[in-house]
Amino acid sequence: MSELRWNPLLGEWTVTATHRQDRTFFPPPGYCPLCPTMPGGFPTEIPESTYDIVVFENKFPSLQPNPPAPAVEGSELYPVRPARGVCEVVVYTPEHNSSLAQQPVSQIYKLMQVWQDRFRDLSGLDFVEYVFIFENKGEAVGVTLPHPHGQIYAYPFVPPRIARKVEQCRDYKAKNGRNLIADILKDEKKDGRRLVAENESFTALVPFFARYPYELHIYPNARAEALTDFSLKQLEDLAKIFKQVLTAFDKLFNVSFPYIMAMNNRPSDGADYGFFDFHIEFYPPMRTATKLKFLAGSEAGAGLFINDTLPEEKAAELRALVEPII
Amino acid sequence: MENEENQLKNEVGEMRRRRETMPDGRRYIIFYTFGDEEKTTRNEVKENV
Repeated sequence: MSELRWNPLLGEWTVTATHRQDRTFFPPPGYCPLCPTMPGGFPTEIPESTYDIVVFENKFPSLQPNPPAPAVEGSELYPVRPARGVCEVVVYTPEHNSSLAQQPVSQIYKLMQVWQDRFRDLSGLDFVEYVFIFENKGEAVGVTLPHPHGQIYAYPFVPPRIARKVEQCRDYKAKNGRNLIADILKDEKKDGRRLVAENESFTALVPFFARYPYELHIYPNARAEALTDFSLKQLEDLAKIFKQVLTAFDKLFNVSFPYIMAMNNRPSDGADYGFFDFHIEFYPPMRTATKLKFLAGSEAGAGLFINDTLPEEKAAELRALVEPII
Repeated sequence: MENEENQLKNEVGEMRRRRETMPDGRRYIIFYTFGDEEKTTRNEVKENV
């Protein structure tokens, strides 16, 4: 059973997806559904003995192109909608014990092109208003399949956090005549203390307003609303800065650093988003080598994040670990 | 500049995609490959657990 249930208190939707309770949870060795299917072996989700990059519909989707009817009837107080959308899995390496950070720049560049293709395809569906490309990495952020992979959710509406950003960007443009994200980038470049890495096309930084100690954002140096606005040269630069910051993350505590990667493209509803700029955000849960940042009372209950660190100091730590791409 | 711009593009080659229906008969799967038809660049599987 799955459906969208309206929360009138917050003015946002919640998805119920009860079938996801049965999703694969840390499968035993030899039964990873994201590994290639070896001759005579366990039939995984990918019926080939090797692959480069594979995308397929999630077996346990939160949203489906042809969703079942809602299990409950809606009302004026509690509107209900079918959970229509698309949930895709993106597997970018056949190697089970690897990570995006361990991929060569050329493989990350391929992944950028695949993400671009998926954004274009899913944005073209008439029931999709927002395409969200993301990666959950590590048990600390709730990953249940350790094989490296990302996901894409194509939502039938603009989700609340994105909608709030869009409104902030729209208001800022109306008041100042300039794009908010472009002004943030300009300010950060002028200040310099929170910069982590730069190349011709992109800048990585710990934002002034970081909610997590090692929160990191990547902004394009030139105007772009979506991944599909970038040339292959720009995708190459994006792959290079990904490699640099992910490698720096892993070197921080000499662990495969967990994170949530959230790509923020413009909505796909056909409206004009000239005031919005593409960007990527990483939310790593680690605050020290042995401690995690939890969403506790203030964060979960009041929506107010408490960051126990100074973004300027964390940016300096990361910047010192960034190596040039040769 | 032109050579620099095409550094990875030339190394990786053109992206191609093959869309199929998964064995369950209801979901799709898309295989992305890069490079020439005969010389598809693929990762070698070093291990499978």
